[in-house]
Amino acid sequence: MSGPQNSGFLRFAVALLAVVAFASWSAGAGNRNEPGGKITVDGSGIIRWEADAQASVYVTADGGPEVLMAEAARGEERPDWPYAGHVYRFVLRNTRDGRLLHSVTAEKDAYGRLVVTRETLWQRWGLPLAAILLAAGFLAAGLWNWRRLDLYLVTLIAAPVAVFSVSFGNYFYGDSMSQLLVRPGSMWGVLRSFMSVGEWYRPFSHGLLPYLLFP
Amino acid sequence: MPYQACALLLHIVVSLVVYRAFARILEDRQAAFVGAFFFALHPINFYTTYDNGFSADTTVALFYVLSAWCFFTRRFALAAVLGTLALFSKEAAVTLPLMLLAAVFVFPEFRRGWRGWVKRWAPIGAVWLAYLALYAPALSWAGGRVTAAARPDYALSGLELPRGVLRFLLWSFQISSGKSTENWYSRPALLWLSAAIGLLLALFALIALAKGNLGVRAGLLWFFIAALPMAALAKKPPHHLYLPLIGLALVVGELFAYLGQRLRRPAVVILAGAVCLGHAWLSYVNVENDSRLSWVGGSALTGKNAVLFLKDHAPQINGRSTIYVVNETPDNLRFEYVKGDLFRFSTGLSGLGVHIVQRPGQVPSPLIQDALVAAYNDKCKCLFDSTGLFAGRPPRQAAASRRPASETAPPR
Repeated sequence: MSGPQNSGFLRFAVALLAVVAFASWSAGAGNRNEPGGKITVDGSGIIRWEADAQASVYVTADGGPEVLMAEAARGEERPDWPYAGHVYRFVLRNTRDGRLLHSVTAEKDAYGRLVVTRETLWQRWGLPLAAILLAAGFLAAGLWNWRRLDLYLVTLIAAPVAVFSVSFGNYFYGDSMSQLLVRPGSMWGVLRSFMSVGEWYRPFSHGLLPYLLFP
Repeated sequence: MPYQACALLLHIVVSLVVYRAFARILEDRQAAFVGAFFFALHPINFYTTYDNGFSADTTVALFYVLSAWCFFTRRFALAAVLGTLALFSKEAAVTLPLMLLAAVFVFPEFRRGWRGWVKRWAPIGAVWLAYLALYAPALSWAGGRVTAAARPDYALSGLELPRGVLRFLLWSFQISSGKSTENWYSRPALLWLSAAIGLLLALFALIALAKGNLGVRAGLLWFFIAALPMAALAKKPPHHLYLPLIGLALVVGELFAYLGQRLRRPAVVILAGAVCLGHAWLSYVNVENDSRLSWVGGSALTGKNAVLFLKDHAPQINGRSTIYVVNETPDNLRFEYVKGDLFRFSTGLSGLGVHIVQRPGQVPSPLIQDALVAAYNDKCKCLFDSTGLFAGRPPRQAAASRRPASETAPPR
């Protein structure tokens, strides 16, 4: 690949990361503070709000229309209606001009409590990181001979990490657990898994690999 | 974390191998990148990179691609070894000889000297025959379906093929269809855009096929042959698309190689950038939704709450304790995942297990919660030592009662 082409593609690769970061940041924008008021959901599912002037609290389910929930400059409420599996956004607006003051996104947990939808690292730091990446990328593209570095490879490594690392904070589920529970504990066990032919005969991916990676 | 990181690393390795293979086939690195990017950032990879549970998909793809690569670079013994590793990774690799045979007929240069090739097919042919002979006793044939004794719910049937292939095609363009993709972003405008992109690619593929384009022919053959066993399954989880998707990614790459030869370079770069950015953005949104709202997300959320709950009720459960989340149907050990909140406690073999019984639209009433707490405390006394780790054999699980939800309507 020639230098100029690679520099052009560097800008593209960096812009790609920047947009992914910006998208993730904007997805969490609802949980960030705005001036003039604040609305929160605490650990026991109580919604509290406080504004500088008369304010209205609206709620929207799964991106649907806003429904008025309360009107007061400050107050608290513990709704008993949220369903599990739905995402609710509580919006605090100035009653007089309808200006958005603050909002918080929450969903119901296994015990019927409202919990704030988590904000990922990308959502918190995505925008500044995107700006830094963009600036560094465009600067470096003009300064460095990129012939030695395959930026396509770099992008193919970085982009999946940016998108799929979302599951890093999650928990196991059944298939994974069962695989870990039955993984071989010794080389003899690995050999036995190769010799035990039957349905789900996967001695490499379910035997040797977990034995080597997670001994 | 290490489990997820290893899964992600495996996927990245597969993506890089796919990129290198595409670069060799297309002889255009930018087009190869767009194709590999289409594959690498597809939202089905939320499942394949989730944790160790889907390592079969990534490893079979890795060895399958490498085996094909070695075969076409005339390293036949190595191709047989890698093909065997693919078979040891997942049964889906059984289509590899068919794939190689089909590719030999696609690429004219591989047809030359085919008599010598008969000998070279011997290693891979012997491995496959031995595998089929060993595996066949585990399968049964009844009513036009091939079924494994232990998993009757995973029957193979030719009648399922059209529906399976159609679903795989929809998923390829990030169009939601069926379980596990129900939370993909589905604004009508985006659906139309995704469908239009899919149709445009199909149109390009048809024209290219008519003109004898080898890359498109190879990509489509790869998609359909690799999809054969998975599309015929009664159950069609999205991660089964992993291996076939490589074929469609090659068609995407071929499209950009075609454009690269006919359009000015800046126009192709802008177009490639727009497609990749759009694909990445949509994938990010779908992955975010999957992580929170899908069956995996539901299990994760319930698991997280179970941990908080257990910490409240059992101080000996510390941060190092392993919490396994299992959703187990009462009649057998088949795992099922649906949205819901009800779970019951049991024990795993090396830590505390929270066995979840999820039912759509149901939540535990205070009465059931109390019963769960009592059941847990009862087990906890005898099964967990002072560090919170497992110290005995698990008893039979206590049955969990269920009660319909009695909630008022949501505000809409």
